[in-house]
Amino acid sequence: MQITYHPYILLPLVTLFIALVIVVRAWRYRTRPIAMIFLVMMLALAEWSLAAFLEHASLELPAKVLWIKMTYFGITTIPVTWLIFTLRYTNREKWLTRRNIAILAILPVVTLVMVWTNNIHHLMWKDIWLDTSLSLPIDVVTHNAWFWVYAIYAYSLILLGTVCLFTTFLRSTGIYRKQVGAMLFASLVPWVANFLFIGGIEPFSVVDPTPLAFAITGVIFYWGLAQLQLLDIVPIAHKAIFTSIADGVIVLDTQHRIIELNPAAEYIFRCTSTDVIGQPLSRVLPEQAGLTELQPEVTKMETEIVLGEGKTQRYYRTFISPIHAQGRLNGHMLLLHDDTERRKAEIESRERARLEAELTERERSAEILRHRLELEETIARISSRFVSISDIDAAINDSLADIGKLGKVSRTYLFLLRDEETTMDNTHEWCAEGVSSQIDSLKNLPCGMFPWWMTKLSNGEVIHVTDVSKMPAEASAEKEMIESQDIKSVLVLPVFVSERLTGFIGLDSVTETVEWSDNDLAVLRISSEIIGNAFERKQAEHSIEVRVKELTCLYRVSQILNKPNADLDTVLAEAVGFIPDGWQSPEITCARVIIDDKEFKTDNFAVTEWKQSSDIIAGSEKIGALEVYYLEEKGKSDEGPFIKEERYLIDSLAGMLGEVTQLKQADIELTRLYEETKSLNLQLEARVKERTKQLEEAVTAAKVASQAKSEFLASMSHELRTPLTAIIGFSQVLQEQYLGNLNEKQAEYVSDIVDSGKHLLALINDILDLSKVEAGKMELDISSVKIKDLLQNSLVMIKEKALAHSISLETQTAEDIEGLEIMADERKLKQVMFNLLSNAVKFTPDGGAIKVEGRREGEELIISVSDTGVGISSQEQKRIFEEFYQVSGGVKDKTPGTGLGLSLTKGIVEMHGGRIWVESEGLGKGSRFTFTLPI
Amino acid sequence: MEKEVILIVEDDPKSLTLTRDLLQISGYTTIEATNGEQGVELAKANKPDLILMDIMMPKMDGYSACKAIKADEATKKIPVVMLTAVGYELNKELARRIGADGYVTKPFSRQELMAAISPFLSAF
Repeated sequence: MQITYHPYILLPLVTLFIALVIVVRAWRYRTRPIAMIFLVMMLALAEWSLAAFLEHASLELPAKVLWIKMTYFGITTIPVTWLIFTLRYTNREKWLTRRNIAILAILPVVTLVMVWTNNIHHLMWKDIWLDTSLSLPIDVVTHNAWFWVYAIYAYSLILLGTVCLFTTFLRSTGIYRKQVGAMLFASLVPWVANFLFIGGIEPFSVVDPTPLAFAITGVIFYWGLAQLQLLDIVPIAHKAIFTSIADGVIVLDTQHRIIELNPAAEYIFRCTSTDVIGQPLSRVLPEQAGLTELQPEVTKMETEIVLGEGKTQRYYRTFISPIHAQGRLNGHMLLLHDDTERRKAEIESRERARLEAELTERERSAEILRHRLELEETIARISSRFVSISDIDAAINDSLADIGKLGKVSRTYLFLLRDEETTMDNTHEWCAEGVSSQIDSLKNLPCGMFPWWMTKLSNGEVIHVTDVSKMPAEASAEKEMIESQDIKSVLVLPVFVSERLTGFIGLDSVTETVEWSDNDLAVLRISSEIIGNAFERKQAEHSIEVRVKELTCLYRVSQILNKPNADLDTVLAEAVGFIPDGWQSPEITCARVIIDDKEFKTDNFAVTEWKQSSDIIAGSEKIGALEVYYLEEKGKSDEGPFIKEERYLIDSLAGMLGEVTQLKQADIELTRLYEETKSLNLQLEARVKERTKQLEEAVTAAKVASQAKSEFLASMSHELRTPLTAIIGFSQVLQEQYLGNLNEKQAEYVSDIVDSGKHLLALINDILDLSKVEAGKMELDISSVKIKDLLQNSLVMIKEKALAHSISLETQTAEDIEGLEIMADERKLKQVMFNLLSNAVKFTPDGGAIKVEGRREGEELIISVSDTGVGISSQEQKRIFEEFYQVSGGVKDKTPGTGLGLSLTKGIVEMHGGRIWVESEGLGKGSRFTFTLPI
Repeated sequence: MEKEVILIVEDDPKSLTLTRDLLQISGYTTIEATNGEQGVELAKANKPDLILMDIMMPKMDGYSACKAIKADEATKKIPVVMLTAVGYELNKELARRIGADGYVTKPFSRQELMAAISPFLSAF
C-alpha cells in the first residue's frame, strides 16, 4: 500500500488526533453508561477518521475502495451512539430499552452488509472511478439508492438527538441551561459540516468535513460532561444521596432561585421540581419562615421553619450553607430536616408539666376555697342566728360554740361592760370537752384591773397572744390572770355597739399554743361585729317599741279629744283612760286630769309616792293639771321613777289637753260671734248695695256733668269768640283806615276797642285752657322739639316789645343742649316761654336786661328766664302761681294781665312732667323763673 | 288779571261781612254761603279758587262740608281753609284728617287771614 501526502489527508488526521485525545481523557470514566456510549462514539469517530485518512492517502482505486468500505464501520456506529448519548444526557433513559436499541441497530447493520456486498448489487454506489485529471487522483463515488436511505436514517437519528437537546434546553435554567445550550450548539456543528460537504463547497467537496465536525462536537461534549462532573463516580453517589435522602435539599443560585431540589424537598413543599425550578425560593417557602430575604453574604445559618397548620403542622430544622465554586459564591444549599417528632415530644412534655403545675395549683386553691367556705358557713350560721333576736343569749352561746370549734380552741366567751365601762361580766361561755367552765368566777370584775387590755380593745385592736411569756411588762395583770387559768394562747376581739366598746369575745387555748390565720381573724372579727350589731339592733328595737307605744297613746288621746261636736267632759273622761297605755308597764300606771273643778281618773287611780305631773294651760292661764303615778316602784334610774321620755310624754299630753280645752271653749264663743257677725254682715251688705247704687248714680251724674262741662266749654269758646271776632276784626279794619281816615279821638277809641278786645280774647283763651288743665282735658300734641330753636323763636315773639323799651335780650345755652331734641308739645312750650318772657318785659324797667338760659342736668332740661326787673317779695313768691293772683307794679303794658298766665304755665309744665319755680332776692332785684322738662 | 274767587262759608252774618270785607280789601272776589250744604253746592257750581269754611254751622257743619267737597271728584282740588273759633282743637292733625288744607283761628287780623290763604292763591 502506498501512502502519499497531500493536503486532503490533513483533515482526517486532525480529526483522528482529537478523537483519540478525547478517548484517552474520557477513558477513566468508562464505567459510567453515559461515558461508555460517549467513548464508543469517539472510537467510532477515530475509526472513521483513520479509514478516511487512509482512503485519501491511497493512490490506487482498489485500496481507496477498501478504505471507503472501512469508513462505514464508524459511519454506521456514530448516529446510533449519538442518539443514545443525547437521550442519556437529557434524562430520557427510559426509552433506551434493549428492544429499542436493537431496532435502532437494524439499519446500520443492513447498511454495513450492503457496503461489503456492493459488488453484487451496487445498491450503495454504482461505481467508483479515479479522477486523475488533477495533480492527485481522487476517487469519485456515484452513490446509489441505499446510500440515500441510510443517509436519511442517519440524519434522522442525529436530528432526533438534536431535538432532545433543544427541548431540554428550553426547559432548563441557570447553569444547566448554559450547559445544555453548549451541547446543543455542539450537536449543530455536524449539520453545518454536512451542508458544506453536500453543497460541494471547496475544499469540502472532496474531503468530507463531517468527521471533524463530530470531533469538535466531541470536544464540546467532553467539556460539558466534565463540567457537570457527570463523568465522575462521586457525583453518582451524590446523586443517589440527593435523591434518596430523607431530608429535603434545595439548591439556590445567587438570586435565590431554585436550581435543584430533591424528592424529599418536593414532598415537603408539595410541589414538583419542574414547577419550581427557576422560581424564587419565596414561591415554596412561606414568608414567615424568614428565609426569603436570605442575604448573599450569608455563610452558614441554622433556623427552624414551621409549615402547615394544626395536625399536619411540621417543624423543620433548616441548615443553610453557601456553595462556592472556583473561589466565588455560586448559590446556597438548604437542608430541611424534619424535626417534628422531637418538637412535638418537647411540646407535649412542656404541656404535661404545665398541666401538672395547674393541677397542683387548683388543688391548693380548692383547699383554700374549702377552708374559706367553712369560714363563710360559720359566719352565715352566726349571722342567721341573729336575724331575729327573740333569744339573743341562745344565739350568742351557739355562735361561741361555732367559733370555738372552728378555731379548735378550749374555750370561747363573751364579756360585757356596764356602769359606764367600769365593770365587766363574763356573760356567755362555751367550753370544749374536758375544759372547766370559768363563767361563774368572772363576774363583776373592775375594768381597771386590765388597763393594757382595755386600752387596746377601746382602740378597736385585736389582742392576739400566742406566747404568754412574751407579753409586755405593762400587761402584768393580764398575764397573771391568763397564767392562773393555764391558758397557752389567747385571742380577744372587741365588740362595739354604736361605736362604743361594749364588750369583747375571747378565745383561749389551754392545751396547745395556737396561731390564728388571717382568715380566722377575719371570721372572728366579723362574728364580733355581728354580735355587736345584734346588741345595737336589740337596743334600737326596744327604743322603737317604746316610741311606738308613746305615739299610739298620743294618737289615741288626740283622736278622742278632736271628736267633733263632743262634750268636753265626756272627751276628757275617755282620754284619761288611754294615758297609761303610753307607759312601758300600763298595768302599774294610773292617771288623773284636773280641769277647773272637775276631776277625771283612771279606774285604778291611787295616789302613790311615784308621781309625775304637768300643768294644763289654756292661753296663758293655768286651768288644771295632769298627774301620772306608778302604783309600785319601777326600776331604778338616775332621773327618778319617770325617765326623760315619760316626762316628755306627760308634758305633751298636758299641752294637748290644754289646747283642746281652750279650743272647745273658744268654739262656743266662736259660734256666738259667728251668729252675730252673720247678722252684721247682712246689714252691711244691704248698706253696701245701697251705697253702690248711690255711687253709681253719682258717677253717672258726674259723667253727665263732665260731658255737659265739656260741651259748655266748647260752646263758650265758640260763642264768646264769634262776637269778639267781629269786634276785633271790624275795629282793626277801622284802625287800618281802609274805609277812610279817622280823626285823632276816633283813632284813639278804635285802638282802645282793639286792645280791649284782644285782652278779652286772651282772658277767654286762658280761662278755657286753665279749665281744661284742671279737668284733665288738656291734650298734649307731642312731637320732637328742638330746644335751641324753641328758645330762639320765643325771643323773636317779644323782640319788638323789648326793643321798644331798650331792654336787652340774651340767650345762653350750654353746649350739651346743642341739637338736643325732646318729646313735647311745641306750641304749648312756646306759650310757656311767651308767658314768662312777656311777664319779664312787663316788669323790667327801660334799659334793663332779660336773659334766657338753657342747660342740662342729668335727665332734666333746665330753662330759666331772668330779668333785672322789680323783683318779687317772698310773700308774693308763694302765691304767684295761684289763679287770678297778680303782682302789682307791671310797668310796661297798659293792658293788665289776665292773672291766669302763670297758673296756666305751671299747669303746662307739670303736664310735661316738669317743675316750675321763681327766685328773687326781693323787690327791685329782679327775678328768675326756672322750669324743668324731662329729657 | 281776573280776580280770584273765594267762597266764604259762614253762618254768623257779622263774621261773614268782616271776612268778605277783608278779602275784598285785599282784592279778591267773594261768593258766600251761610251753611255747609249751601257751601258744598256753591263749590260745585262755581268752582272757586279757594274756600274759607267755618266749623259750627246749622244744617251741615264745616267738617262734613269739607269732607263732602274733598270726596267729590269735581271739587276735591279746591283748597279749603277752615275758620275756627274753637281754640286750638282744630290743629294740623285734625285738618289733615278731614282733608282741609289750612286753618285760621278766630279772631283773626287781616294779616293772619292773608297769611293763611295766600299759599293757595297765585296772586296776592
